[in-house]
Amino acid sequence: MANVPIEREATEEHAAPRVRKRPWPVVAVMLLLLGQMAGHFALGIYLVSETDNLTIREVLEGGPEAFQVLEILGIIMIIGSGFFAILTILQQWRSAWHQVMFSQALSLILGLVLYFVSAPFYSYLILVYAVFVVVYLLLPGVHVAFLPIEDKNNGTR
Amino acid sequence: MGRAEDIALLRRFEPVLRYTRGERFFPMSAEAYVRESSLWIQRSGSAARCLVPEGQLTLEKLAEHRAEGFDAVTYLQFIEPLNLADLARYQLEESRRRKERDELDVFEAGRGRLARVGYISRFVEALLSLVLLARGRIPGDTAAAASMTYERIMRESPHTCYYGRVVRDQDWIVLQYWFFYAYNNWRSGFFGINDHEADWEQVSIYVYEDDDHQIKPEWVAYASHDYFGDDLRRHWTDPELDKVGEHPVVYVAAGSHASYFQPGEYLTEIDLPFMRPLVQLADRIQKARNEALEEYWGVQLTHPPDQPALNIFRIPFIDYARGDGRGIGPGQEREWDEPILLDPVPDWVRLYRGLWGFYMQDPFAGEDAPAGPMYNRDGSVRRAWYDPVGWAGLEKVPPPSRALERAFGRRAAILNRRDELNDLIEHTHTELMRLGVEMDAMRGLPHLKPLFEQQAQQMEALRTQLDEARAQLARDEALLEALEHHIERLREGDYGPIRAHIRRGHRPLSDEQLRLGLLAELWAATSIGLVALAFVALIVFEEPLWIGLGILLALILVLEAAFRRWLGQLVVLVTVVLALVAAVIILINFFQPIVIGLVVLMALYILWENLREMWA
Repeated sequence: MANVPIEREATEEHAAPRVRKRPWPVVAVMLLLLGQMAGHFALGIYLVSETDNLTIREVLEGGPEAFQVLEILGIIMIIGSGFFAILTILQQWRSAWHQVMFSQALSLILGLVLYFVSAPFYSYLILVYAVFVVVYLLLPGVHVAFLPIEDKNNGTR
Repeated sequence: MGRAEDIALLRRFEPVLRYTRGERFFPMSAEAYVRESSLWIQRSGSAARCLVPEGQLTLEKLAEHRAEGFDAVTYLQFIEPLNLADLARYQLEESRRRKERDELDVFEAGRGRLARVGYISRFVEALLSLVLLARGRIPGDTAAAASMTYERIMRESPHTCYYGRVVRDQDWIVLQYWFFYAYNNWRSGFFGINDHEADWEQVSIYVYEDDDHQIKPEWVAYASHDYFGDDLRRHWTDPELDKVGEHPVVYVAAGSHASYFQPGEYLTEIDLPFMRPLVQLADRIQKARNEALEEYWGVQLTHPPDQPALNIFRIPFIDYARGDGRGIGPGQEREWDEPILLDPVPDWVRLYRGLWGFYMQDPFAGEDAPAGPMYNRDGSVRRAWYDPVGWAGLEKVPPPSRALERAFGRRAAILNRRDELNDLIEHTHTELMRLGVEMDAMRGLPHLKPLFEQQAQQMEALRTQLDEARAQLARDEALLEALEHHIERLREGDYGPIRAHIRRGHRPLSDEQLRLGLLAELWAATSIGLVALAFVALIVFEEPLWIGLGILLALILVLEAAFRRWLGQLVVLVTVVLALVAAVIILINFFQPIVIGLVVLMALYILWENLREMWA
């Protein structure tokens, strides 16, 4: 028996050119990320200067010194993910919004770990800044600004 | 119409059933099934009691009236599960016969079957098997026994039949086709969620008599899992509906026997009763979010806002309705026997309200057998039986032959109402004028104050009445205009779009969804076992346990999310939870400065606003 073919909805190719001009919320998020990266960079320099005479043996033995090294590694990861998020925004990749969210997750994890281990003053700064960025990212107007232009026109998410 | 005409009508449109390869059970005579069954009764808190042993039960005996108490459940038992030795013998025989079997009788799940359903489904599936083992049952033992008995019945009496019903309701003639299966082996045969004895499935075709007294088909509705109302039916000319001549094609899902309009593999979501509050909560959150996105930010969704696309608390399973197996019906390898008419309703349908197969006392009810064609499991009458037109959402749809007449009827009624409203408006207007003139005359005269106040109240009531009448008239004018256009279209033979009523159309999985990597399949196949082993390793080696458990959970989440393409959603969820925790910490540690800061900001804002207004 030959089945009657399914009527398929026509999917038009959208040839609309990408808009080069970035919406303001996207620019704001980039600036926020740059500010956050600069802050983490300064913190990293400060922590490195605090670990002048640290030996590998001390790190392997664990304790506060090892934690400080982990802290520096965490900061490097956050700066790296922030850098990657900015790159995705510049390239107008579909995942840009999620990449920014991911970098904030890393920042929040670092801030929370620091808070629960030794609660230095800068852990609060890290948390406040990241919470602010997350709230801003979750505003629907900001989220929509990150959608690729063809998605906005096409009506899909 | 007489019995012969009804049978002829049923035969004219009788459906073609197309099965998936590997299907073991096909529509059969309920009488043959009952002859092989015993009748039991189960009261809560006591052991089940046999009412009629196997070999003595007939349809007549089934119909005997029994009042056994409120808590009693009457049920049939078709077969005894095989013991381990018998099952091993059966499996051995099956694997030997498998090579000789027709390829139409062999099911292949295909690549990616496990990877397409989530971790929870795989876990539930493993758990169900374990629960059966704990009850002393082997997964598939009952299905194997049922298969053996069914094959024996078919050898002795090879009949493939359906039960038919012709219902004349409103302007429709409903042709109901009921199919009885001895067993539903969705879980044991096709990786679904349940197995149970007996299965009643139904297909309805809605026909009407045209002006030349010819019977014309218009709609078709198939019973399918949790679908109801408008979503169940398709128009006779809908391209989604396959037909062989005048016979609609039903793609029957393997094991579950759910009916589909198109061949394919369908993702079916099941609610577990204890998860229902979470399911509803997640649905509401998604609905609110979707509505907000659509209404305020113009993001159009692929799903209607009140039909959430995905709910992580529902358990997805796959229903295979490939249509690549055996076929029954006109032009197929097996033809239907003469239909058995359920009109007048036989006693065994009308009087037996019990279950048609074994009562497992399953808390989720999925493993309990269904009741007969007329009843639900709780003994109430099925809607498809007492209201077949409303069941498919057709109570509001006239057949084409009556559409124009109905539209004229509505137009006449509205025209009548318009005349009445015009009279009312005129009368009210005259009354208001009278009151207005009289009140003007009375104004300022103290001895007429009570009358003035009384007339003021009367005037207020009349004004409200006049407003309502004018508003109704405006609405009726618009409605009349729409009806005129509608009548015009009907006259031209345009009865409207044939798919506008479908809110949630069930579509088979797309080719893209079916293409899953080997890695995803490998993870799906091994994840349950590996996670169980990792859990044991943690208990033995890891101190403290909760850190290891946390890492394990995170790993499962990330891997599952990656394979299901939910990584983005997972990242958002985790980040929001972390941000909430951080916000609480900040609030606890800096409560006073935060409050002071907020008050200062508010004060500065008010100052700024007021001064700006003053200077402006």
